[in-house]
Amino acid sequence: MKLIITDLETLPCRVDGEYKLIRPGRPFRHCVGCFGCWIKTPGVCVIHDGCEMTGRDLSKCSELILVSRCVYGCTSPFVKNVLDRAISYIHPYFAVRGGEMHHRRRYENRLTVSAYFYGPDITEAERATAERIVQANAVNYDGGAGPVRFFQGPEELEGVTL
Amino acid sequence: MTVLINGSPKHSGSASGTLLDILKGHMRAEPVMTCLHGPEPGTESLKTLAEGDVWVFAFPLYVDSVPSHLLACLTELEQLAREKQPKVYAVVNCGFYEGRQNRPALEIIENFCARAGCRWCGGVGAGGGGALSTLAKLGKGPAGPVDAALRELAENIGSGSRQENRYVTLGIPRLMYKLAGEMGWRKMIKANGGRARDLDKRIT
Repeated sequence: MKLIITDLETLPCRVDGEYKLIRPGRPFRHCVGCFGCWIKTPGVCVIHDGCEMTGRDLSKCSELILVSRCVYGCTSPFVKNVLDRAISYIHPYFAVRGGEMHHRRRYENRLTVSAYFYGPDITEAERATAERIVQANAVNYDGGAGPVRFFQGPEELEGVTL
Repeated sequence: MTVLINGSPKHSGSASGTLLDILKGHMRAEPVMTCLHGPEPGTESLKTLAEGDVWVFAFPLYVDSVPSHLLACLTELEQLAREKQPKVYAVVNCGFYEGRQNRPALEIIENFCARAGCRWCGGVGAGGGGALSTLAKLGKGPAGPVDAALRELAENIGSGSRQENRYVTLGIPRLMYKLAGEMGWRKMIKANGGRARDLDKRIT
């Protein structure tokens, strides 16, 4: 299954195969750094507003696809919030991978992270940061990095198949 | 006037707050403190930031970058930064041992400055955030490398100088940090009525 997280109310891309879409609608509160999803209700965020099961959703997918406005080289606050609220996908314990400390995996699935950023004038520096973040996400999820692509606006995504 | 901005979502007990306290202790001129705990900068924070000619953001690394609430604040602050042209510094901490893992977050602040046309002056990426608040109380020992980086940052803020990003970690071995952290998680889940093995729980 593909898990697609987007800040667009209507996804302009076509999608092959089974997928779950997380998009703006009901507002999600921001992560408050309580680590309740690790030490109070492991695997589930303690804020029950419709975003609490995203860690589990990640465990059921083989591809995590981000479709987002590029904000200073990051995803938009909406997409970033969903990712922040999903850290229960990983285990609080550490593992050393590639000579660096990362989180141990909680689940068995191995996912690929890819990103489709849009924005009218994304700079070279922002592109480099975005690519670095997707790569870092892939390592921290103990997964793989897929494509990172950039578009002038959401309308350019109409020809894309995820 | 220098404004120290606590960008942690936590209202108390954050590593970002500890780092700002250490930084403040090294500064010659008294800075002003403000907080960005939520996704919108409050009226008081906006007023304080408007009066500052130096902004110093301190925040934790979330999912390899800036926490979403702070990212939302940055988009709100871009116009103010464009108008006021502050010099901007940042201190990022992560729970991982290696301070260099904070690099993308510092780049985001640099990219924010480029968008706003204000001056990015560099920052510090500190590893070992999970133990910072505890170790900082013990004095300079294990927190010494972080303390030294913040002293250098304070000097650069004082002189208005730009610095290269500096990445530091605690003065303890990585294995010790890892084992102490894992013991901490077991204690915390037990304090919440769970068992150590509940940390491994999988939701189906």
